[in-house]
Amino acid sequence: MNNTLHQKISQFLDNDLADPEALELLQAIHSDNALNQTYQQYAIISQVIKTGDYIPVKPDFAAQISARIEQEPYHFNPSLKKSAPSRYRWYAVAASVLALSVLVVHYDKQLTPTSHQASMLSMSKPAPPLTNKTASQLAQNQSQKPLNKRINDYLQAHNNSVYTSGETNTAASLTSVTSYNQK
Amino acid sequence: MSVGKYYLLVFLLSVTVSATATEPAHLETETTSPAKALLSKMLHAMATLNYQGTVAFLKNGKLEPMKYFHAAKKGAEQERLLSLNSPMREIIRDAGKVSCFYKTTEQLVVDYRPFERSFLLDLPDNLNDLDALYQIELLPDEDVAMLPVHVILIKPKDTLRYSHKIWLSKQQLLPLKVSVYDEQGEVLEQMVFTELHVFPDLPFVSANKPDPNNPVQQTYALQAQSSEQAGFYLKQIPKGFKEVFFTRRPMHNSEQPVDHLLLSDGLASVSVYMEPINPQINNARNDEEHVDSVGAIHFYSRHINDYELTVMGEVPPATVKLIAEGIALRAPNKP
Repeated sequence: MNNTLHQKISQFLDNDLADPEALELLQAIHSDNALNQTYQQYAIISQVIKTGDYIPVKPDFAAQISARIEQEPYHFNPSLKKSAPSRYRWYAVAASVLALSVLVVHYDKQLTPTSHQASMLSMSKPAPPLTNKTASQLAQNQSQKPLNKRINDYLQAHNNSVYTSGETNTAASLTSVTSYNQK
Repeated sequence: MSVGKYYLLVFLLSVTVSATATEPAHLETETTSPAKALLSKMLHAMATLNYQGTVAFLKNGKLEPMKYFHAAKKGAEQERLLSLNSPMREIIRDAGKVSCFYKTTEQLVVDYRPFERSFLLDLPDNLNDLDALYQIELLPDEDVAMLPVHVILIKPKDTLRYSHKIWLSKQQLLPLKVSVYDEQGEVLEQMVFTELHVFPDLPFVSANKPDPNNPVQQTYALQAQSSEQAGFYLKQIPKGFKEVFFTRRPMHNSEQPVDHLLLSDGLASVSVYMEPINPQINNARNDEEHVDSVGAIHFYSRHINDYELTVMGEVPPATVKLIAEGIALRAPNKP
């Protein structure tokens, strides 16, 4: 059971988990401290490996941000000076949205699981390189190009990276270096 | 190293040591620089120690955590990888043979790769071969999981290949982390152990799946042949690249043979493929100069008469294009 949940966490962080399953996972994370810890660990590993950076976030980070927002005075005059949003602020927003979405799902069981849940999931999921729609469109486009069958076979023959990439079909992974010109 | 990274690495790598690597004394005199001496010791440790752990591969923006096992006994080695995520699979390397068993489909793929030695990192036996092409530097030590590690940078002397950085534990001399960087210093690929244990002994596992209902479905046999038999030849080749092997074999589930020449500079490898143009499976974009990529691997295709040529390798776009443009068809009677 644990292995299944751990695998789902990994899929969730890679944005490979279907929305209904992601919602169940978020609920489980919210109600299970051990699972929450595991999720945090996986998220850190994923973040570091993908970006090389890591900013430690305390477990009560979202609560602290919410408390500070509560203490902020109201300003009715808009500020003309726009400061660039710091990375911490974006993390705060993301964490708040995540916490909010889990809480809403947990307590508001009368809502029907349709567009409401979908919208929450779209907010709480880690930012994917491509949206699902774009990915499927890309896969569809790629499937129309026999190029990929050939390239897949070439990749298989080239080196053993196909075994460690987890890509059964590299079609959706192809990236074009647009109009590369040596000159 | 920032405080954040420090805490992260401490968190990530809870490396426990059950045995200590013995230092290969005979390797001390083979190299000249401290960095190369360490790499030689690392290669020795990788080949002779029994170790297992959890390793994460980051390729093509996708994180792939796997269980890794390396068994060594009397000069024989076996690598084994178990995927933790779908597609569930077990990959075993015995010498030059790689077997991949997909659990869901029960498909067994057998692949012969005599020119590769490790899923983690492939370096040449003689590191002096890299001298003309790469600068090998010992960077300041870092602490990983409260363990001291050596950090070695393998930096190309030209723009035709990528940089590699290797973090190897001082105690075990095993690579805990390997990163590949592009010309701008961006990480292209990464391998990192999140846990690693060394044992006095680990069992060799049979790659055979004796199931008569599910025989081997795909076998990529590799019979090395003389590159003189290739339908093409290289007019020019980037410095340091040498032919590793050539083979002609059927691909794409058809009888159509494809010429495959593998080149290597000792660290980076490049494949050259050529086959007759087949509208069913060929689709080179000759109208535009395009270099495509899958992770760190770039590839470039073009037509030469009735043939389709593709050059592919974990090198910058300029390198695959340079090699592709330096290829010509061999005259039928040309020796």
